[in-house]
Amino acid sequence: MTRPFIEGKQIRDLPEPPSRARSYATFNSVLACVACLVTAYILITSLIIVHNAYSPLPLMDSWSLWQLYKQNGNYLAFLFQQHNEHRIVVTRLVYIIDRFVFHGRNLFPLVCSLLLQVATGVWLYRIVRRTGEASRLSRLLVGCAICSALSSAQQFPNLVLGFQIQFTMVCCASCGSLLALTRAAERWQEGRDPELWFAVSCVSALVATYSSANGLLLWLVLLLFGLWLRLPFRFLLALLFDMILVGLFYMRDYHTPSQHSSPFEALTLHSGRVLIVAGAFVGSPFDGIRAVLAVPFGAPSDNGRVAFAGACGAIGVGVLIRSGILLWRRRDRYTKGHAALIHIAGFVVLTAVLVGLGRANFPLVAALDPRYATYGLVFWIAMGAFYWSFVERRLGALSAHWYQIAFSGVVLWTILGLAVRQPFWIRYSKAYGKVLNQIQAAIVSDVFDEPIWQASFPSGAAILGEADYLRQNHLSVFTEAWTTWVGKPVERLFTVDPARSCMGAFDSVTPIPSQIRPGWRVSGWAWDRLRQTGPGTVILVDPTQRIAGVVKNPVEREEIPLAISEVRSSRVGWTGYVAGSVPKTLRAYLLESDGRSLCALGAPLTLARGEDRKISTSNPGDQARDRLVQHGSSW
Amino acid sequence: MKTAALKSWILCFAVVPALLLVMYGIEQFGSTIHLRASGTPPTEIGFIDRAGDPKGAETVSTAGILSIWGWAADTAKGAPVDRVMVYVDGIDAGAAMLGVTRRDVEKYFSRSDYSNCGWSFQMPASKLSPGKHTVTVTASGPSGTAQLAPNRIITITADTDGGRR
Repeated sequence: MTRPFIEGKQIRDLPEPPSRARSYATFNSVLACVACLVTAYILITSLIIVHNAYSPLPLMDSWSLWQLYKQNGNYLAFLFQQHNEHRIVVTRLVYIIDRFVFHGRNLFPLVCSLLLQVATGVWLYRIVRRTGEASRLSRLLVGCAICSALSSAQQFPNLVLGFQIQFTMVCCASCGSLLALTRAAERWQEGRDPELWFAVSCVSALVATYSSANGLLLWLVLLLFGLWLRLPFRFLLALLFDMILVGLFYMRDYHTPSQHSSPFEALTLHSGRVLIVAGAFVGSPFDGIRAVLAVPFGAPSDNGRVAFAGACGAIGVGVLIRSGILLWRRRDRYTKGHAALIHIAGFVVLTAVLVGLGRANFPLVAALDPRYATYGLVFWIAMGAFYWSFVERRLGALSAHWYQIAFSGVVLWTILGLAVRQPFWIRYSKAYGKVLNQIQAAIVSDVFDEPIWQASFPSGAAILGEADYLRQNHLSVFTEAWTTWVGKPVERLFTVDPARSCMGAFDSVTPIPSQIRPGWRVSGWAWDRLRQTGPGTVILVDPTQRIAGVVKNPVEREEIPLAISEVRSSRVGWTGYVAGSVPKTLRAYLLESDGRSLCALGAPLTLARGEDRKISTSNPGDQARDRLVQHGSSW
Repeated sequence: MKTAALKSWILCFAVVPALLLVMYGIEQFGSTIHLRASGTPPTEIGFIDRAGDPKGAETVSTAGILSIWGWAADTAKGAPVDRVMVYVDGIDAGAAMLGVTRRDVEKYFSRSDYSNCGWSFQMPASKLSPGKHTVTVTASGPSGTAQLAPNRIITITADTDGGRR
């Protein structure tokens, strides 16, 4: 039987003089408030980041679902097909639900992914609670640290891209699987049926396996954990049986992707590189702390970043190995919670080695890819919680003074390691959202502006058919009514407001001389005088009074409010596309707040084939530019 | 007692194999559908990218030009195919011009012999009555004739000002 480390002792129970106890209690309340505030700050800022970086259109790897569908003609035929080195059946099932229930708007996978992060946090907390009794403040701080870590924006892609659900799913399923096995062992010790929890553990492991290739390693970790838990023989046999069966089924027709290194070659020829990648992978959450501490020293080289993260990771792995040995040698001193935490950390380290084996031919800095940060964070939560329980036990024998220092350390780590970098990620998400808006404008307008399409998928032309499929089936962004406006008579949808309650103009026009889908990129600015805001929507109308383009992406134009005092926001710029190759004259209109009235913006613009040009008509945009030139500012 | 033991063994040993079996069944079902689809030989392949006015809007006034373009290839011979025929409401509207360069299609299929698979077709919209019309296209080549996807719906609107705009 395990002995609780601190037997339900609260801080206020410690034998201290009343006045000091009161001051400690006050300090503890302050610490609790700070921890809650920091956690709330990280949560809220991360939600803002998710909002900034959301797009209903597929991006990068998530185009693969539509590509495979077009190649195969049905969604089931490629369910098990490899995606790079993974078999992502679970991810594809989530996307199929998104396609048929939620019109492929990418929101369902994203929400699922965020909920999985919440579930991971809950599983980890429940495991931590099994390490022994702890004070209320301690529990609160550990909860805040878990919540802050799993919602921190250093795992940016995993928070904002639905397709990254494979990362959040494997973390959640592996923690859930180990927790379920712990529960099975507890029930068995209590003399109750453990089979159901054992089955839950196996199913979770299967979900992890078919979310990401490293999920295969979980079976080995479960078997070791089962041995530590001294589960009955039939459970261990079942785990071994499942491990072999799942492994064989997974490796059927498996091939190493051509761009990846051969694991055997990597192990024999580049073992040092594999270890560096693995160390940096585990230590990647410290890259954020390094960035904060290194501000006075300027931007470091990639090698410097890898070295720092690698050193942190090596320390972490060293401590894990030591803890693992102790866990096995002095089994009676540890709880099932301790063992589960060590096995979670072990799973992350095995994953890091696997990544190193498969990506030994990649640049070393790839190990610091933000999408790997979720694993690193789970590792450090597990290791931190493992040692925290011992710190608590030791402190229990000392004075409350040491409690204050230890608790303050946890809060400081949360602030320094996680919260301080959030503003950076907010700025990053805004820039990211701007690129997504440009991609959306080009795809919806059907103008093949190749560099922009390449920002969506490396070979931009390869997704033309998929974009057409989304348009024809009213999926993704094409569920929105504005995407169908082009070509319709403007008077059928809107009325022109003669009161002229807006200002703005065209600024530049760039021909897109694509052989495939030509057009023009036009930009300008607009200010809604009634609402005192920048443009929500700008409508471009051709001489036949049909809508030629719709612009929905306000962009920052800081020079405009500087030049025109009436404009009070910098989000007044717009950039859009007009498809076609026949020169024509365009008028731009601002769509007013009623959603029906249009307000004309400046003079018409004549589109022509040839060089890029800035518009030289006398309009407020030019006046703003002229003033900037006069003042020597950059344009 | 026996039932409890059986339940225990089933939960321990049968859950994962049963799920794998279900997954295998799904995979085989999907592959069968795929084989059936790819087993039929519509070896002329292609697509109607757009039908409408020259910039691709699906509404064309009677004073305007109806433009239709896309790509077609023969999976055995490559591109261009022998003939691409355009039909409006099932009535022959004419043959499309072949040989337009389509690097995107070439890149997508990794087939250099698809590089000239583009085709385009234009006709005065005045030949059509105002209202909705369905555009269909067929491609013919050494491997046969196939209808290209998808059918496009266009709307012809009456030109009220005699095309003066």
